[in-house]
Amino acid sequence: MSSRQDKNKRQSLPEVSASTSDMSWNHTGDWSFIAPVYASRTAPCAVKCPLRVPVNDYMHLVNEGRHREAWQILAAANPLPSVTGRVCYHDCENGCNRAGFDETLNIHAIERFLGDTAIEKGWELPVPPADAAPAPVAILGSGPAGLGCAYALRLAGYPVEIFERETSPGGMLMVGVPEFRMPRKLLAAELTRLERIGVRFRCGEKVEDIKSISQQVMGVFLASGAHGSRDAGVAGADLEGVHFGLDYLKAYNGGKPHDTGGRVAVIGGGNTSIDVARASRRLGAEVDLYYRRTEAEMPAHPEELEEARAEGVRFHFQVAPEEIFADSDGNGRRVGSVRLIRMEQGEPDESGRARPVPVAGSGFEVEAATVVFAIGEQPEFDYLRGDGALNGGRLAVDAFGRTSIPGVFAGGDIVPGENSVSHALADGIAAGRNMAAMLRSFGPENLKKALDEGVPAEKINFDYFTKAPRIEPATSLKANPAGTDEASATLADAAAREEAGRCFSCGTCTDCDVCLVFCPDLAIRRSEGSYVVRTEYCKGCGICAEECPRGVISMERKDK
Amino acid sequence: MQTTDYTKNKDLKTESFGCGNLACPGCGETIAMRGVLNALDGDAVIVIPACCGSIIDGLFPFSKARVPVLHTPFATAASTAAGVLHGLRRRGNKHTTVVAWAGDGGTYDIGLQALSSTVERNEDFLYICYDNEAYMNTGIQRSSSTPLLAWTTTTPEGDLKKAPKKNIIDIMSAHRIPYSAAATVAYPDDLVAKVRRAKSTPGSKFVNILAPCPTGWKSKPSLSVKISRLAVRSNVYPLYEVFDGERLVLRDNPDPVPVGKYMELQGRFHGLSEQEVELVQRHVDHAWEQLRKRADEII
Ligand SMILES: Cc1cc2nc3c(=O)[nH]c(=O)nc-3n(C[C@H](O)[C@H](O)[C@H](O)COP(=O)(O)OP(=O)(O)OC[C@H]3O[C@@H](n4cnc5c(N)ncnc54)[C@H](O)[C@@H]3O)c2cc1C
Ligand SMILES: Cc1ncc(C[n+]2csc(CCOP(=O)(O)OP(=O)(O)O)c2C)c(N)n1
Ligand code: SF4
Ligand code: SF4
Ligand code: SF4
Ligand SMILES: [Mg+2]
Repeated sequence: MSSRQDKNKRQSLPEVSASTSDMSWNHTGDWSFIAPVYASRTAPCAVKCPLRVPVNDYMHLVNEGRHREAWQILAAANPLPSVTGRVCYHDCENGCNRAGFDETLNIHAIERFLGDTAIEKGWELPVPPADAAPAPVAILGSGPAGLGCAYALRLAGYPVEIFERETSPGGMLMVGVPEFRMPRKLLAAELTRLERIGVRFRCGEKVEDIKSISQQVMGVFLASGAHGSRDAGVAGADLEGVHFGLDYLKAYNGGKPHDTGGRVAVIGGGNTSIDVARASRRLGAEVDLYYRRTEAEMPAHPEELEEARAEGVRFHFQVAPEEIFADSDGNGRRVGSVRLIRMEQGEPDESGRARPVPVAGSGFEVEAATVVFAIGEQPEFDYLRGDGALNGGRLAVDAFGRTSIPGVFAGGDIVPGENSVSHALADGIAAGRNMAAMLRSFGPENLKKALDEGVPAEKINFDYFTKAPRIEPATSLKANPAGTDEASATLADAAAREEAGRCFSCGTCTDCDVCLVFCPDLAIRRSEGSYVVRTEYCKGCGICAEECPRGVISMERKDK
Repeated sequence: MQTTDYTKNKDLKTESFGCGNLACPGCGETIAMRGVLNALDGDAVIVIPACCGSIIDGLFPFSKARVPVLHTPFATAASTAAGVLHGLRRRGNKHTTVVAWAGDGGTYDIGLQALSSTVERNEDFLYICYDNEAYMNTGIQRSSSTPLLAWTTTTPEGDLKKAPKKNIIDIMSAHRIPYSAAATVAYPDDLVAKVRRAKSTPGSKFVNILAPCPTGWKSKPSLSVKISRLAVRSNVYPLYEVFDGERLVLRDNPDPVPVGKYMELQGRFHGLSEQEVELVQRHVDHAWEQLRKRADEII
């Protein structure tokens, strides 16, 4: 029967009942009030990441071996991936939808892999536009907050100068975080790459008074971090061999470590205490760490704790120092022992945690030649000479990063919020972008748009994925660590690709065709590398949105 | 992961299946027909008896299928297909696949006699039953394909279906036809492979395609593919093939989900007690074990 080709028959009804044409005149889309809408969505990892790195957009590129393109996406949001791949506490992984399936994606290991690969291959950041202004923006401090701000401003074409009182840039990454966690040649590589896009470091220049610079510049960003030590209030703290954690680490990192005397007692439970302990092990000492609360309450990251344990650091919880005694065999000036007392959990304090209270009569004495107090660092702002509103001991800032001083912004450890490298970087980048936008007098409309909540796990169609274990780099922790050999390893190329292959690409269309295949009404078509819905045929059944493996499609009212 | 290559590099003009069909939103029949026509590369004549399928195709003189479609009386899909086959072959056409496309009512019940005699003669055609497990077009009356304890308008609340679903593949196997198979819409790769295998096999071929019907199953239109997938994953609807009525090849399901997961998405099973769901589970488990025992190959 080929009556459809027989034009003459169309004039009159055919002799046998046979179709003459197709049904496409019938716009079944008129039947429905909903139709699918495509939208690239934010992945939950990106929402958790302080820098909002669009992890979901680059993982498939790593998986395909397109490392350079992947790095470019990563570096656009984060100029220090080799650094953050090592020291960032990877909140991103806490958001990973894969947790509801098997194990979270090893995002930071891939970040580090890309960061290291970029350094090895010499990949460069995009060349910024020509300088858009006659005077620079001054940045005080070359830690992650200052670097983030400088990066954002350079990308917008503004000249920047970073004042740094130390002889080399990097902030806490240089003076605080020890080399065995953050190799200095990799840090230097990422810093010189920033120099090559025009970030100017003025090292060895301590700012004494903010007014001495604020006159000649377009704006100021304060990023001086938290370097002040807290007084422990323990008798005997003036003896030789008693140190503050950050000072002790600065000496260690500067290549002139303090003499440990072979036996170190570390007091505290944060990052600094762990780094002090691990550094002391590398100086050949026996190390005991005393913390006044329980292990679960320790502010240090559990991974760091594990690593320190593996390196022979002995942890003691719910103990606090009472007094430090001089060594009776020596000259009477150096630490010989510490009296400690056991603590128990009392009533909740202001922070909501149980207040540690001493257990009467539980005091005991331990030998020690060095005592290091690592009980927190606080910001100092002498250079403000009393200017600037505070909030809980830190500089108060508004949503744009502005302090109460006109033209002066701030971010990182000197402002309230979490103290971490990626939070500081994020503060800097956000403030830099805001400064650029305001400098252009565009007002705040170009500011970082609020991100949504991320694709929830329920929108991931697990039926389209197969389970596979999370891949970790081979461990290189040693029970007797020595020297500055890096204490952890980078993923190998094949492993990085394989692990990246576990990414669901939440919220990112991967052209998988699932929607196209299942549409009962052929209303989904390919168009210029993506998909379009022919709403004139879509009946609004919602199969495409239900089946999409990665939550890209949602059903919305047609009249919206 | 189950997608198929048939959509690649195809635009609407070259698909053998057009837009504008008259199916309800989320209908499984259209997903099935699109898969079948693409698997046959559009070289087919379709014979459709009275059923939703004949309505869905369009209003005379229009048709959503871009191949010739003949509408026939309810009981005669197979015999009409045989007539078309002989006409085509007499005229020298050796390549076109003649497809009888009928619902479960038109296959398991009223068309069974014509089907049986046509395949007994081993006519060279492909019979496809798109199986929505009731007479949907006339308002959801039970058929012999309706599953145990399902609601229909003729097995209402208080008098749910007491007999389990008839096994049509067993009936076809008893005729020793060269090829019969069970497929469903959530597995397009599998469906397309089965249709292509049928096309290249001479003689009578039968493929049953489980095609969810949101209207008759009282399910959300968006869940049609998911329900089809759960039918397989719960062993309610195993995917298998029988060659020459003997050799049985079964697609394995190593990690089955409970039947309750399949049933809870469909209003036609709502209100069943735990014991009733348990009874269905026992039936399903038994049938699956029997099938595994009979299988010559499990893939
Ligand atoms: C021992 C240690 C280990 C840590 N480990 C981690 C980790 O593993 N992961 C993590 O995420 N975070 C870690 N942190 C926290 C992290 O280092 C900080 O949150 C982060 O560096 C803050 O960045 P910032 O830019 O605000 O300040 P900083 O990095 O502290 O930089 C401030 C810079 O300003 C300079 N400066 C200060 N005053 C002046 C002045 N008047 N003139 C000129 N220059 C000045 C300082 O010399 C310094 O270089 C660690 C902190 C410590 C102390
Ligand atoms: C001889 C005869 N009896 C009854 C009917 C009415 N009728 C038309 S379609 C249909 C139901 C078809 O059911 P099924 O074959 O399962 O297809 P479905 O509509 O469910 O897709 C019936 C009973 C008819 N057309 N001819
Ligand atoms: S699976 Fe990939 S995109 Fe989704 S949350 Fe995890 S890392 Fe992000
Ligand atoms: S599957 Fe097709 S008909 Fe159904 S909502 Fe999506 S585009 Fe519309
Ligand atoms: S189903 Fe696949 S192709 Fe369609 S939108 Fe989702 S990810 Fe993209
Ligand atoms: Mg039916």
